[in-house]
This record gives sequence, C-alpha cells and structure tokens, in this order.
Amino acid sequence: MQLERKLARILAKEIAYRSYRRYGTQGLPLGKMSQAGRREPSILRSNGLMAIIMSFWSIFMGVLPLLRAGDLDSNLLFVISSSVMLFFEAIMTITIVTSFTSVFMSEQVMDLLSTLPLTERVIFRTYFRTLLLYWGGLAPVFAFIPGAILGFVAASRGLVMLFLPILLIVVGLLILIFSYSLGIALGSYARKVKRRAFLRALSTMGWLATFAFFYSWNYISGYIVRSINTEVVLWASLIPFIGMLFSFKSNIALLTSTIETVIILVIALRWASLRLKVVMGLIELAPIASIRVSAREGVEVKTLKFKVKPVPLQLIIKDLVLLGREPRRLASILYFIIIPFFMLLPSLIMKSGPDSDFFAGGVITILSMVMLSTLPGATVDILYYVEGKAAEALYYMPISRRNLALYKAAAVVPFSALSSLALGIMLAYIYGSALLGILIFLMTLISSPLMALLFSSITVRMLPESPSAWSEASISRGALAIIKIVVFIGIFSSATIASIILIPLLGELALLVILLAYLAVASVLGLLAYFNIPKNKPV
Amino acid sequence: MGSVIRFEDVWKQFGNLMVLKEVSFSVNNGEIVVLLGPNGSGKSTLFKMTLGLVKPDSGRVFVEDIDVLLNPIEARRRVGYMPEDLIVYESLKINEYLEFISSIYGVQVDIDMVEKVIDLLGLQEHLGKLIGELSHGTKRKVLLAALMLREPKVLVLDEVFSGLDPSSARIVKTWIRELVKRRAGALISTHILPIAEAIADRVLIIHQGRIVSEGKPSELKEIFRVKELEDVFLQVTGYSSEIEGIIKALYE
Repeated sequence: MQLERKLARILAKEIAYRSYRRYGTQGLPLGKMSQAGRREPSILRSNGLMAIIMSFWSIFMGVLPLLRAGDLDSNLLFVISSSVMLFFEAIMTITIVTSFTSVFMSEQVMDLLSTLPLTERVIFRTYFRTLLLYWGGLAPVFAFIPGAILGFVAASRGLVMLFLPILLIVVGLLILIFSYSLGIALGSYARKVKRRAFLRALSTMGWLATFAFFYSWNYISGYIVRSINTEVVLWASLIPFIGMLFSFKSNIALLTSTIETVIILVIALRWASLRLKVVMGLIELAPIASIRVSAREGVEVKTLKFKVKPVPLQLIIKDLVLLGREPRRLASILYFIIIPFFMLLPSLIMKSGPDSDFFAGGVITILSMVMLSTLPGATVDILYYVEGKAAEALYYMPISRRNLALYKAAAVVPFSALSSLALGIMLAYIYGSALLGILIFLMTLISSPLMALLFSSITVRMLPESPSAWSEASISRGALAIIKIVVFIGIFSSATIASIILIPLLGELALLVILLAYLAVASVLGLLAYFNIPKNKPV
Repeated sequence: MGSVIRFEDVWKQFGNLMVLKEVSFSVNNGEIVVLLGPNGSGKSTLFKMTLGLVKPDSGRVFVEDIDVLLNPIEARRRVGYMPEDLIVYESLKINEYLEFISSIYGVQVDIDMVEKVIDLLGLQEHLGKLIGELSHGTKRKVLLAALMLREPKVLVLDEVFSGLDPSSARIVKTWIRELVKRRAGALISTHILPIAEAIADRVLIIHQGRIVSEGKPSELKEIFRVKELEDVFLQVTGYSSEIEGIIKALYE
C-alpha cells in the first residue's frame, strides 16, 4: 500500500506535467490547473474544486422536490432532477477518465512502470489510485450524493417515496462504473487515433460534442427543468440506467430499464477490461504498417509521394496535417467556427429577411458577420501549440518570426473560408441577393486572416528565445485571453453602435458600409501588428 | 581552400559559469573536424553558435564568410545541422517530413533521389508509420535522410552516430566523407573515439570551455606518446587513474 501510494503520487505528477506540456491547462482537470505537475499532488486539490462544482449542481437539482410548487408530483420532480444530475455525472466522468487514459497512452507513461519489478496487480491498483485520488476521479460521486441526501430529507417529510433516493445512489454508482469503463476504453485508443483517419474524425466529433455540451449545458438543464411542467413522456422509462428511476410509475419500466442497464454494463465492462490490458501493456498491439502488409499480400504497400512546394504552402500544409492528427486541437478550432454559426442561425432565420423587422435583423446580421470574421482568426494560437516539442526545429530553420506569424495566419484561411462561405450563402438566401452574399463572403474571407495576423503576431512574440525553453506553457494563455477579450469587446461594441446609428440611415447599404469599416479596422490592426510586434529575426 | 566555419576569439558565459573561453578555430572546405570533449565542456554551445541560436559575449562566428550574428537566417540556410536531441515532427510520416524539410530549404530533388536515400538508410519499411512510432536510431536516420537530400555545404553534426547500428554508422561515415570530398566542410562531435579517429582530418579537444589540444589524430598520438586517441583524450581532460581504485572500493 505504501508503495502504491508513492507510485500513484509520482505518476500523478508526471502525467500532470506531461499533459500540461502538451495541452496546457486544457489537458488538466479543474483542480490540477494551478499545479501543472510542479506541486506535490494532493487529493484535496485534485478533487476539491470539481467536487464543489458538482455538489453545488447536485444540491441545486436536489432541492427542487423540497420546494415543489403547486400540485406538481414531487416524485416525478425528484426523478427528473436526479436524471439531470446523473447525466452530468456521466459526462464529467467520461471526460475525466478518457483524458487521463489518453495521456497515459499517448505519452507512454506505462514505459516508466514497465521496467520496474512490479506485479500486474500493483500496476493496476496504481493506475486506479492515480485516477481516483489525483486526477479528479473521485469528484463525480458528488454529482449525486448531495442530491440523494436531500432526497432522504424529502422522504422524511413524506414528499418522495423512500426508495427513490436509495435508487438514485444505486443508479449513480452503476453510471460511475459504466462511465469509468467507457472512459478507459475510449482513452485507450489514443495512439491508434493518431494513425487512423476514421478514428481521428470520430474523435474530433467526440471532442466537439463534449465542448458543445459544456457550452450548452445551461440551455440543456434549463430546458429540462422547464419541461417539468409538461407531461412526462413514456419513453423516458426505456432509457438504460435513468429509466430505472421511473419505476415508481411502472414495474415494466423498471424491468426493461434494468435489463438494458445490465446488458450495457456487461458489454462496457468487458470492453474496458480488454482495453485496460492494452493500457497496461499486457497486450502488445501489432504495428499498423505490419497489419497492412499482411492484408494486401503481394501488392506494393506504399508508393512514395514527394513534391517540393513553396515555403509558405509547405508550412501551411504541415500545420494542417499536424492538426488533422490531433483531433482535440482540431476540435478546438472547429468549435470556434461551427458553434457560433449554429448559435446565430436561428436568430438570423427568425429576425432577418424582407418580411421581418429590418432593424433587428440588420443588427444581428452585422454582429454575425463580425463574429464569424473575428473568431476563426482568434484560434491561430492553436497552430503554435500543435507544433508540440518539434517547435524547437523551427529554431534551426531559416524562417523569421515575422514570416512565421504570417504563415500561421494564412493556415487559418481554410477554416475561415468555410465559415465565410456558409455565412455568404445564408445571407444571400435570407436577403434574396446573390451579390450581397458574394460581397459578404469575400469581405469576411479577407478580414478573418487579417485578424489572425493580429493574434499570430502577438503569439509569435511570446515564443521563447531559446529552443530548449520551448513548451506550450511558454506562450501565456492568460495574456492572450485578455488581449482577445479586449479586442472582441472593442470590435463588437463598435459594430453594435455603428449598426444602431447607420441602419436607420442607410438601410441595407449599412451592412456593406459596416463590413467595409470592419475590414479597414482589421487591416489596420493586422498589418500594424505584423510590422511592429514580431521582430524580423530568426525564430 | 576557404573556411566554411570560423570561430574568432569566442567567449561565452551563462550566469557565473564561463562555458567558452578564447575559442578560435576554423573548418576548411574539404575537411572533417571532430570536436571531442567531456559532457558539459561547451561542444553543443559552439554548435548552436553556427546557427545564431546562442550568441557569443565576445568574438565572432562565420559560416562561409557570413557573420552569423548579423545574418543568422542566411547562416541557417547553409548549415546542415543535426542536434544531439532528436527534434522531429513525430506526427508526420517520413515522406511528409522529408518533403517539409526539402521545401523549407528550397532543395530541388527528384523522386529517384528520395527513393535511393530511403533505401540506403533502410527506411522503406517504415514509410507508412508516423515518425513518433520509430525507434531512436530510425528517427536519427530520418534526420540524416533529410540532410542527405539537402547536400549542405556546411555540416554541423552533434553526436550524429548516437543510436546508430554499425552498418548505419558506416553508411553515415561514407556519406560524410563523400560530401566533404565533393563540396563541403564538416564539424562533428562524438563520444565514440574509434569513429572519431577513423573519420577526422583534424581533432579538437575542448575542456572546460577552452580548446586544449588540436591536430591530426596521428600527430596527437605522437605528441602524447600513446597508442590510442582515447589515451590522448583522457590525458588532456585530466582523467585520474585513482578513479579506478575508487570504483573498486565501492563494493568492497
């Protein structure tokens, strides 16, 4: 036990450091962000903050049956609020366990342990101890325990049936086991994901969904709480795990949901136990290349592709290839492009167009254009992080800092082109003017890389002088975030004021005038930053 | 025979530690100079100065008569540098990496040449893999392949033989000799003294930041009246025979 505790602490520190080096604070669970592998691991620090957030949420949901309003069925209220808690628990647990296991796999942490004279049992226990105690793996329990305690209080007052809070604890624990299994299994594919395009695409979508979930959590939970007033749909009882809570309405629901739960749990456990052996290095996977050779015997496996390209194009292609092999980072860029677009879509459709109030529609259209021109450019720092440790190679190459800033900004173009095109098509359709759509497409297409140039010039300035000093942490995310916020506030407030003044005066023409003005501002900011911030010296 | 690298009275201090003192030497075109020295003697610092990565406190460094301090980008364009630590994009495949490096340095190379280099270094079977999946030695071969395609006129190779098997080391030695004979000059460091002896036209020994010995391997052995270059190295760097006694005493 003493040995396992020591190993777990060392492992936690190592994984936190490696994760921080690779992903910055994004790679760490909430409680570890301030540690970054530099401080001694602490159970309280690693779980505390997350536990507080989850408890807060659990109490918020758990108190609803106690405050029941009108003639609402408090049993139903308890079951719905419990479902929300459990959903949150599942998402958080899967995220925590997947991120831990993927760092464990991709950073080959197992290599540290495999050379030591340790039994499999000790290694297994060390893995779980590190995950539970030092990676926030204990915190998800707080997503349902406080809620269950409040459930017992409600039961003592005769508001809910006594077996419901007991069932909440049981289902909460089952979800914990399921989420742990799923997290281990998904995280164990980290190395394979890098090599297979299909898995990378899948992983990118998975991360996008996770980011989107965190963004939209307030909306989802708000919607669920509001839906309490509506009739509970029968199919809820058919959902595995959560459906068991609806057993107070029907025994068939309990039976159906229990059978589903057991089947899913057994599958997840079997999958996890197999993948855990891969994580622990007990099953050696055949390298991908050798699998291909055996599958296509007698056929030439690889034909060499080689083409020397112009330096800017090659640097951009390299960045896009690296990004394509890092689903998490690719998802971070796509998130800032896709999510705002979908946020704006309903408002644009509802409030814009010839039959609607032109003033409101115009303001929203302008803000959409400005947002979709600014946000893709603001993701340019991710293209620096994606270099990883190999960024040191840039220091040996004949590339100036100023040119690097320019090439990185140019690498944003494929992403901004997508959002510009989508916006152009959408506005052309809404306003019934192809010309307007084309003009807006062109203007956002040009302004986005200019904004990227501004942020790229600032980021390149933050690169350390010496290659050995390079790590992701050497680019200050905090300083960058502050600069981005200031720029966003400045641009959005100016755009809002301009649209309020100009739309009543100029009508549809205001859209083009403001976008032209934005283009001018982006040009000035981008070019001024480019010529003044990065020095024309080698990386 | 002009010099491809020239250090003129270079001094460098990190904090309180003086890492280079009064270093002056040159590497001529058509010459292989091997720099020997204990760990931490200042070899890598010297190598990085040829790219302008480390600036001297005083003195000057030239690469093909280009002052590195004044024009580091041009110097980098000419130097074929291999660092001791393997710094390479691990998420790229071999051909992607070679394409990248060739493009950055504007190397015009045809596919036949690329195939020849890949075959020569035994990289064919690894083409489908990401570089991160390769062994230490194979990663070094990838870096070497990039240098082979570039054919730089100035070679600066820090511990280039580390992690290479004997046949790969032979290939690298032959390639360095051939390139230097045709058009280049090379500054190399290694801890493998038989290789140093076999390849060097001239050996420099650096100790505590100062060049303490210089000459052809045969000349140095004659001066110090020893049979092996290793003995020259040990004498110059102050190795004491008492150390063997201390090691024996460890387990007694």
